[in-house]
Amino acid sequence: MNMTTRCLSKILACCVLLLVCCMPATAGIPGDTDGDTNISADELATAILGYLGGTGALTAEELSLAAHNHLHQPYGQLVAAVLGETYLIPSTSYIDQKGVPADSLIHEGLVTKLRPQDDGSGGYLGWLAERWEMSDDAMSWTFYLVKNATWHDGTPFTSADVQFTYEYFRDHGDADAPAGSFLVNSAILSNVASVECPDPYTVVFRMKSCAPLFPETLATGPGIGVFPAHIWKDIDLPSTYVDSKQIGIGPFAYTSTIPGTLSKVTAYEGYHGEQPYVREIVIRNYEDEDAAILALRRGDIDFISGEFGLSPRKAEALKGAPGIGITQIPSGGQAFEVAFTSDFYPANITAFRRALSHAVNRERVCWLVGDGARPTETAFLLPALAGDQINPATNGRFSYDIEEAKRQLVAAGFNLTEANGRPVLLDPDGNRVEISIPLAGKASTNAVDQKIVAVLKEDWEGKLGIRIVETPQVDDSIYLDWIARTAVHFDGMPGRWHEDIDRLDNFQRSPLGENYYHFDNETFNRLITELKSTADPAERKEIGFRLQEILVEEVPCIPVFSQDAFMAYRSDRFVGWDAPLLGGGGNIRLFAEIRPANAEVGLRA
Amino acid sequence: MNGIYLLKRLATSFAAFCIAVTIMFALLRLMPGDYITMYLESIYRYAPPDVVETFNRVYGLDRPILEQYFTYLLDAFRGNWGYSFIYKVPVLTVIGEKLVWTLIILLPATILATLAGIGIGAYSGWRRGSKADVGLLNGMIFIRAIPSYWLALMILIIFAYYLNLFPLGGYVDTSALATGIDPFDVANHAVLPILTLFLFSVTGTYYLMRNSMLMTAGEDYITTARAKGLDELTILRKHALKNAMLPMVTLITLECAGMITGSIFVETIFSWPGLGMLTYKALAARDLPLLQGILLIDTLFVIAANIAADLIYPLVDPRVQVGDDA
Repeated sequence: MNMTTRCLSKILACCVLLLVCCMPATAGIPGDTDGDTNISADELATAILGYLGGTGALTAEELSLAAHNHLHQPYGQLVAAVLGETYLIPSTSYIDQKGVPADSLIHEGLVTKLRPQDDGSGGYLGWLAERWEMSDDAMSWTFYLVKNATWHDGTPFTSADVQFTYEYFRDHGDADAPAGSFLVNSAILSNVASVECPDPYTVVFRMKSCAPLFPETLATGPGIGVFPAHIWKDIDLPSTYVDSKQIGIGPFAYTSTIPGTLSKVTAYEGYHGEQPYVREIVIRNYEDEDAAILALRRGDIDFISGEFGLSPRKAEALKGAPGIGITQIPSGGQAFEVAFTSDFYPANITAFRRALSHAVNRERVCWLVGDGARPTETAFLLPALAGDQINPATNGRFSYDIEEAKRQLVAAGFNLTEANGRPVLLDPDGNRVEISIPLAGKASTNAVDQKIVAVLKEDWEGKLGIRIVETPQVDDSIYLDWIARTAVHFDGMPGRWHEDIDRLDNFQRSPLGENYYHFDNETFNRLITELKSTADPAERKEIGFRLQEILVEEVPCIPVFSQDAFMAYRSDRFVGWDAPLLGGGGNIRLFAEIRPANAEVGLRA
Repeated sequence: MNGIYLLKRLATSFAAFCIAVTIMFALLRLMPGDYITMYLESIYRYAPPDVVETFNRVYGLDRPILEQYFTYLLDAFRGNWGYSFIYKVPVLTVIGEKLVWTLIILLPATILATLAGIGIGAYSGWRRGSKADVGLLNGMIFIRAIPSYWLALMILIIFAYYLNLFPLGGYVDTSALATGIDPFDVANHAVLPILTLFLFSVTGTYYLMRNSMLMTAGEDYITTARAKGLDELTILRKHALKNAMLPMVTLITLECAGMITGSIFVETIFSWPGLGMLTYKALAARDLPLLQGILLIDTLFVIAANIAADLIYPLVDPRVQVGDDA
């Protein structure tokens, strides 16, 4: 090796060393020697002695951080980006907003829902309810409330607040309500007949009909937040009331807002549950995801929030960036499917739908979509979320097999011919099979529908001879009209809509009208009605299995893939993200578990 | 100009306003979709008919269309523009908030773009064919050809992210939550949006001024002025510029009116809470009261701009007279 090469090598090594030293790595909490993110008494004592003796590695600010951690006192400020203004704390009444309590740091409901885990854990987490019981016939639910909760103005929380909340919704869902007092989401509690309070910390919901999953109604978006009777009893026009104080009962209390851009909440000292480790949360609005990502990279913000987190490609680009962590939540995003309008030709032919269920190349779609796309071959329910509710006999019934698709089409009376060297599919009457596929709605997120169309064209046009006439991009407001007059469309509902057998009522033709698939199966409809009035878990599971069997036979839709959700955060400033993000249960639980790891965040507050 | 003309002008403007409001009312109701159905379907995947019916009844949307129209018209003149379905506050309150922030970036951008466009365009037209003219013309063509969204993003990435000279979005720093809004902080946040809007707008003004100057420069009186021995700068200032400015008056007044609509691209990239994004959200959600309010404001501004143009013309060119029989 000559002199020049040796010099260059040395320079390169120095540069690498310098780069490594300058790169902010994933942080540990100062003073945390065993890496468990808890500063024990011994660790704190060691840090203090070292600081006093001048031999310690911690600065005064870092020592303060360590002490706060040990004493479980809130410390520092976290800046979270929300995409879209509607996620900021509204200056209007929150009670009619979507997603309380899951999207709120100020307000709580009785329970929240956790994500199902591989070990079978999950279920519901009590917030204002410590525990709850269902009657044998699921016609009543008893919630035992926490006894030490207070509203942010110090007023004690009792069962009367829960009863008031229910009655307020009931009274303000009145058809003759004046403008400003009508609550759109008053229908949430429509199945509740009455609410009783046998004592200040017990509340009993009497239901109009069997409600084995009543906590689900209370927990998932839109959830029901409990709000203070002593404030809201005097408010006649909730929809137009400007709530400037935002008195809630959650771990954070409202502090201030700069309209349209910033809001701040501060840890509430009287919170009944586990104190958060973070003292202040500042929520900053970004209208553009790219701007939010730049802000995260630069350190202006610490966390990017949102219903489905970041888009997969952008999350992929962030992986490995210094000081930034990514949590990938299995099936936490949307679940996409090819849906049929079951009363529109040729989708009204069951054998046609069944044949096409073998003509969706999920692997190829997932390759186009990118990281976090999981092929789905179960009947509607997602394996990562539904667990043992999935009927194992229905697994793999939608396997990609073009030859099988051809065979089934021919068996159904279709004729696969050729014209000008290209396949042409003729129906039993000898007409060319042509379909249109409108693009809109939730399946258009990140242009997923366009990717699915591109793959379908390869197989449906290229191999099966089905002509896709047009794929018009339509406005969401007329999407339902388009669905009604086209055979095929796409759907991209949130993953949580695929986590429970009760969600199979998506396919029920109810007295309320058509479902998205125009699917009307008598046996299916009857089983759904039976499911809703069955409380026994074993019987419910059995009904769920039968429902799934009908779905794989009738194929009102072909599941394609589910998308993971990606959450990005500053791993050099806060630690402990993965567990609460993967556990679910809403933002409140998140901020009770993540801990400051950099004294810089204390200088902000 | 006399008072009678002014009265006539106001009367015709009032009529134009009423016609515009009527057309707007009809067009908004011809749009497919409605707020409550779309909102409920996004949550429940279906819209319970009883909830839709109740909502429509509570907000008067089930009344006869003519009754809705006259109620809306009377309320508009009384200053009662209804409540926004999305924000659930009075429409005027929402618009007022956003209008302020829109004007903070659009007013300076429009003024700067107008002044710069006129100055550069006049110079470019006066020096037609010179290296400066060719350079400026090609530069403006280049800027004009860049997609506005991409331009805004590049400005953000270069000046805010890589050079770290400006904030990455919003209109205040987080410290404002404790200390209140600081005008210098707002100004710091406004620089990049203003720069972006300036670049969008200056090209149009430049082209028009350049073309106007080209036509003026070829006039006989310019040749006469040169023959009289006047220097080029004097000819430009005292003869050419004033005459070339006439078409700009209309442009400037209409640009001032148009600026309140905001720029959705700039507001999105820089997370600036303006009227552009508000209009888009109101449209997407079919928030009729809010849309009506925004379009009302737009209509008022355009009408006022047209009246202003009429009033300014005689001041710029005394030969132009409005309202007289001569």
